[in-house]
Amino acid sequence: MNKTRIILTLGLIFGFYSISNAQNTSDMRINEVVVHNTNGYEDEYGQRSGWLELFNTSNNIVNIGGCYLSDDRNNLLKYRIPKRNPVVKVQPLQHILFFADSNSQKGVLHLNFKVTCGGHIYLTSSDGKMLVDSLAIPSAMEDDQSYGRLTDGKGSYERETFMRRSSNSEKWFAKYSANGGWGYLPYPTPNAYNTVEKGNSTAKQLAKYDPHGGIMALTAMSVVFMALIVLSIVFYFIGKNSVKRNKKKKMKTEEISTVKPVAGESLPGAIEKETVAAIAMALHMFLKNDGPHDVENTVLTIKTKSSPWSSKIFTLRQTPCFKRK
Amino acid sequence: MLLEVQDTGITSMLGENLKKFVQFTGFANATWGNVLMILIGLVFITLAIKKKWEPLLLIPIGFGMIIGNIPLFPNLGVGIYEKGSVYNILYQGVQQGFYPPLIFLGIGAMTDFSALISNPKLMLIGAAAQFGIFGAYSLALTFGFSPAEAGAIGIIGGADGPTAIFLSSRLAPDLLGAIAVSAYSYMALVPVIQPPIMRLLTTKKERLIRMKPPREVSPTEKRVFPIVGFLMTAMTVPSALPLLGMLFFGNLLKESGVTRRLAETARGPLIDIVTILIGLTVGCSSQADKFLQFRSVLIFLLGAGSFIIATTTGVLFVKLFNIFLKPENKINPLIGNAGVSAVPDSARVSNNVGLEYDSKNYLLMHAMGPNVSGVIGSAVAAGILLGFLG
Repeated sequence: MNKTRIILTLGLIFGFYSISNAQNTSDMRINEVVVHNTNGYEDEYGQRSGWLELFNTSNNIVNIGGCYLSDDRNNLLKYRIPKRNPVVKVQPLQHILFFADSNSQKGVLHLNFKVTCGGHIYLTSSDGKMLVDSLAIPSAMEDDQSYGRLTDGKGSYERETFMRRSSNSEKWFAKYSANGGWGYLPYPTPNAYNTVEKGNSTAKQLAKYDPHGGIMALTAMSVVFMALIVLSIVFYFIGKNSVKRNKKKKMKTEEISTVKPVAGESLPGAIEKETVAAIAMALHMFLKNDGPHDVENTVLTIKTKSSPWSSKIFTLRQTPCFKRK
Repeated sequence: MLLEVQDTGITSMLGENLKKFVQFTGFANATWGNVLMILIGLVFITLAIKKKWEPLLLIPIGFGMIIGNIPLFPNLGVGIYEKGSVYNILYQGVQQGFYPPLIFLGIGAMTDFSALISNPKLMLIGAAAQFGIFGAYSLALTFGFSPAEAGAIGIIGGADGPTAIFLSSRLAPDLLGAIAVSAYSYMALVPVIQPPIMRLLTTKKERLIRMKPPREVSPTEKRVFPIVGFLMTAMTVPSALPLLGMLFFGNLLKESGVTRRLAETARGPLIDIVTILIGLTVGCSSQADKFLQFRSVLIFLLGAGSFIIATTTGVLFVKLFNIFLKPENKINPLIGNAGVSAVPDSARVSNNVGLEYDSKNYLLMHAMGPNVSGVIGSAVAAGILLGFLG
């Protein structure tokens, strides 16, 4: 009885794990592909090759380690995405990009095949049986042209085709090749949302309506001038105010200095003559020729003078020394 | 017999290993491009040592070029473009754009804005020189660069290395190496490029104009400047926040009078460290296969164009401005070139050219006004470009 329970529990755990795993990887979608990458995204070696992008449609991290990518329907297990590599854990609603450079020795994200016009891409789950997603690449793609989902991870037939897959794979492929929601993107968006166009749309419009940059130059220079003109006006007035205040201060000081002290009395706040003389004498003594300066004339440095008070030897405790007679 | 087999195995294994080792060496993988880039790096180092042209920048960039062009076998994990390598980690400061604001912090902490505060109208000269940026932008578009790439190239005309790196890392990461090297090279060449243009565009009478000595600026004004200056410029162009924020913050550290240690760190050890890292990694990033392209040559030409336009517009703007000024307030057009923000090189050029014609006409303090306003102007211009094209 106990044995049966244990087996059942283990079976349930295994079943739950495999289902959850399958659900996880099934959230992945092929999202974008570039076949001829001539001026676009570079790999970590600074080289360009065709690439394909997957998108995690779920709100959980999906580990695609162990899944397979292929360009051959008869060999769906062509490239096995290595397990236990943090790179292959795809964050929620984020992308992972593979370079299709037919050089998997370069790293985890480099496939052992190339993407071609008119070819296919297949993403298969880690059990090697369940086809997660597939893409039929258009037969004609220009340099740096990108084909992808118009909205990340979304395509009109994806759910239906996924369910039909197990019963009739041929039908699945046929149906999927006519998948909606795909199209040529205005520009490649490697590792970024396909729908994020706001930033560059202004640039695109500028390229269209302002091919020589005249409007841009005028607008931008107006802003630069405006910012600095406003700043200069503000500081013109701050400066004027400051000059006025300085003048007032100066006048006050002059007024004080013109007030003559009554015989035998000193001005409020004024220093006694004797004190001034004492300070001057102290400074003179301190700064006289063989005084504190050593090298630099303008820097006051205090020369150390050896005296019993500052000497290390004098202040150190003497080790008692007993001589044998 | 067994021994024989073992001997052969070891020999063949050693042979194989030796063969692999030779295949892995830089000598086996070197291309002519690598050799050429290493030579360019050596030229940079020579110019820095012999001619003393911006040695603080050219030595790290030059040596970086040599490092970056050591041919590497793929997957060795040491190249600058290989994720997780030491150079790649250091390069993040350039790629993510956090080195330039740190340099701006140092620049702020070492810049005295007194000349500008005492004569605020000089700020407009700094604005006029930014025409260089947008002139180069238009030229780059004509040569077929995309608007984003053209914006990144145009900023070379601001004569501000950190701003150029900051902007190109966002608008055209592919061109970052060429733009950074071009910007720093032309900054080093300011004393060569600017004087002929200044002489060409001014008359002898204009060159002899003596400007009123700048008034004394109170400590309060100096303290107010970074706060008001930041608020006014950053509110206008928030996209330039990383640069403007750090620039004015650094200046507040200097002028507040109570953060001497922080200001000294910002303008001393911090800026030195970042300069070393930025110079070295920018040099490293200029690998032959990326750098030796026709586009890089075009960028160099456009960079020269942008410097020429900036100097020209700066000088011409002063001449135009003088028409509206009283005779006693006239500005010497020789300080127009200082609107490009190569601090303090371009101001020094104004002073030196001025002294050639009047040995007692010291223009340095006057030229520092447009020079530092050029720094603000180029940061604002970078913000605008980022806002439009980013």
